Amino acid sequence: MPDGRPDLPLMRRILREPRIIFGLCILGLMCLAAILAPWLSPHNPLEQDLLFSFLPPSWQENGDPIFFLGTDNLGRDIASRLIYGTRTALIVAIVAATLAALLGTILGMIAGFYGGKIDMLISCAVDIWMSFPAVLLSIVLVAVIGAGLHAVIIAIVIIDWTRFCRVMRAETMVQKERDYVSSAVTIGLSRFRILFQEVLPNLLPLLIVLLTLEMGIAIVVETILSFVGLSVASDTPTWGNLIQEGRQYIHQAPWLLGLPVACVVLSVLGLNALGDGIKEVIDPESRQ
Amino acid sequence: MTHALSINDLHLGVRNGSILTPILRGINLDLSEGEIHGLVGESGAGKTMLGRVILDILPPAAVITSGKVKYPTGASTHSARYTRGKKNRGRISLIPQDPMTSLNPVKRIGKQMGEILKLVHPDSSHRTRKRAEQLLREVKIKKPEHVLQQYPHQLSGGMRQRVLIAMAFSTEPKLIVADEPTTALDVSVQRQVLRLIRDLQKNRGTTILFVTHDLGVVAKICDRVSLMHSGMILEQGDVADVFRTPSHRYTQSLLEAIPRYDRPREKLAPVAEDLQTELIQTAREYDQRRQT
Amino acid sequence: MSHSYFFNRLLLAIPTLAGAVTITFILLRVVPGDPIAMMTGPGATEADIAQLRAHYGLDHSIAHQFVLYLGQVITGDLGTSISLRQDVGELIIGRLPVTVELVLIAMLIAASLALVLALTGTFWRDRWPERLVDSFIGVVVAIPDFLWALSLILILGVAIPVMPIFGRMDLTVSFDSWTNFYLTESLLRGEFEVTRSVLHHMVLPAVSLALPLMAITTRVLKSCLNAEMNREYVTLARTRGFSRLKVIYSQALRNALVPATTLSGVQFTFLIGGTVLVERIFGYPGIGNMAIDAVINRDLPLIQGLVLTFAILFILVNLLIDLFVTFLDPRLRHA
Repeated sequence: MPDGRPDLPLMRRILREPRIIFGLCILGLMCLAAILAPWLSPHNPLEQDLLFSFLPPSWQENGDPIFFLGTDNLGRDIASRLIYGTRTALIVAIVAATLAALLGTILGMIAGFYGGKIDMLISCAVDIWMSFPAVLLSIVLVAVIGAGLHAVIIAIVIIDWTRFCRVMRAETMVQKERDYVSSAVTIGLSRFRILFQEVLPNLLPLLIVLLTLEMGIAIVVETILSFVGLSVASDTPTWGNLIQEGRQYIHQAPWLLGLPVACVVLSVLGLNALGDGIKEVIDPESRQ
Repeated sequence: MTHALSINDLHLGVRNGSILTPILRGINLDLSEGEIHGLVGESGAGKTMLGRVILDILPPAAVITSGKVKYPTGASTHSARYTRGKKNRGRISLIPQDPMTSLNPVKRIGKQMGEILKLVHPDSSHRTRKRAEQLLREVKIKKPEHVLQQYPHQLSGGMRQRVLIAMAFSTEPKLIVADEPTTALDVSVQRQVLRLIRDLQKNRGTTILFVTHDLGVVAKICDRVSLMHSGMILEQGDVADVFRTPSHRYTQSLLEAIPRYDRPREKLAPVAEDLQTELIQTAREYDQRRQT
Repeated sequence: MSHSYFFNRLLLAIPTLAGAVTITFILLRVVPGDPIAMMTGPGATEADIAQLRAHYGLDHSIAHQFVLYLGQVITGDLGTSISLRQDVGELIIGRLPVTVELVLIAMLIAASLALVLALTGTFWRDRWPERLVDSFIGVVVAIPDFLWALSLILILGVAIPVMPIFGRMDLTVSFDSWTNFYLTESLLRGEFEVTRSVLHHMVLPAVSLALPLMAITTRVLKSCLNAEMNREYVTLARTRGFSRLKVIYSQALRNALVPATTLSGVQFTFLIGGTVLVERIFGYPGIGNMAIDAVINRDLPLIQGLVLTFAILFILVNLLIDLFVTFLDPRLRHA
């Protein structure tokens, strides 16, 4: 483990942290796969060919090198479906996490900075929110909004803004006591300007960490909702749909479950490592 | 006369990364059996660390670089890591500074005393309980059977310190390190606790190393005294001699700093800053000499 | 005193319950799509639909429906399931024991593993066992129970097929249960073949639920233990010659458990939410699995009943945790 030397410039410290490197590699691969999906995929992910159903990955017995990672029950190419699945995962991860962060941060900063009744109201809402089982709430929400990618994103935002709100509120309250805020007050800056021009930049590092972790959570939630059948239409290639199908043919074709699970686990581990790594680089004292 | 403890040219430092910061610089200390020896110094003088060496509860970063600690049972600490081990179990004990944090908050007093008694002398629960009651009575606690049933937070600070003193004496130790045992107490309780420690010590002939920064306390109960600064012992001797004819300038200035009720109007003389700097300088020079 | 303390905690639970009832009611009345139309199919006449509407109380105004619903909930009548055409209360009571047994076993696994790992890490502080525990925890904590369930199926169900991956017990075993608490009941009735089968089927779902909880609890407990090890009463215990193990186990542990339980208590309630997916994945016939079906079928009375049940489970687990903390810390008992 690098000894988090504070004397090194920030970029050097980032590049010395193996977890950040690992996380960035995973994230980079995901972006590449998502953007270049039409060119990277060897086949059309929706093309069925019942003659070639349940082909195992090419390195196994009976495998066909044309279908590198094998085919599913309808003879669709798994590799292509996984690559296209990255698109959905990444879109949900980026859009949902950003929106949740936006909503949570704004409310959290207002609660932490202004205090009083606004704070009580927001904190109370957060407490009630967090007392519901998130999985159940998201399923109910999507059932209410109706299945589809937009519903998944809205559900994630509605549930997970609280994660940002709690942390940002606490951190704003800490920052508020710092000298730079009182000196900004003495200069006569408006509270609104102090909040967004002075306090916000100091919250950014923490926000980036939370955002990275939230992206991992969003990917899992999308997978879960696809798995339950409440995300995009079931023939769309998403990791969750692939998992759902794979679960049905677990004994015949375990790779149908194994490969998408591996994709989700890797991306979640990558994003987690990235978040933890950034947290450590930003604040070496946070280590016990 | 036999020694209850003898420390010979002890050097100790605390390691932080690759840097070794010296804390104790050549301590020599012989405790005769049955004496109360005062160890006086301001905070940072190294007296707590010296106590920890004797009790063998050094923090992992502390390293004994040279010197010896000889215990009455014959076990000794050389320059390396050393654990006191079972041989000394219950032979040395500690009266802590802060009675509020020194008892386990989730266990009844009776249970805590029982654990210690059984560690040294396995016995039936009933007999252990009787013994604990007897000990509490010796530290002048009324209704000991009731106190044994109570949790620490139900007792006052003075009561807790009495319990801790009873615990320290419960294993019939040869040596007790008393680490500023009265600092955290009210002035009125302080005097009672001091008398209690002295009475118990006289009855049992225990040797006590009494760590304090209060020369008034030393004058009241100690037989001999050592004055420490920057990890070195500056002056050592019988309390009467040291108080009457202090040889070191530091001791002189400390004695002048004690408010005297018979000379109320005289101005207090704080330990002069230049003397402090001089002492720290001496310590630095000592380190350099040892390194070369 | 402790009695009024628990009374207060129970009182505090009332707004949570009321909130749960209200929010689910509101959420589900704005559902687009008509549950009655889904039930009847294309052949139904207007009159049929109107009759069913009246039967399920859907022909009243929203406010009226809410008042009716509240009255029913308070009298313990949760209505009739639209998709299963049975009393919701009976349906839930029938399935609840399955989930309760699963949740309790999972919590037990999580707590005992966390205890062992945290003690190991503390005993060998700054040496390789602690680093091993830390890196193990770091990986486990990043993966949610959903993914653990799927990974465990692949590893222990398919690659090395030693564990069953579907259902509550072997089809070859028959058990005529009175209470549906298979595990408890079979143990009490001495039918150990059933117990074995039920436990065998419980391993993977319970472990999937337990792992993330275990990881967080280990982290919290370990840092609380480390903090406790620096306290004076621990130092004092060391001077008395207690062994390191004994100091950790019989002095520091119980004190560390107080803040650790308070801090990780929320995580135990998260485990209940986890059952929804884990039961689905393992085809486990509990209320979590039922909840997903209810949502997919837009079965309003059943969803409401289930959400209420989950809320009550949450409150009960919280109360249990409070009870445990007060048991551990005498200062709370006498406060």
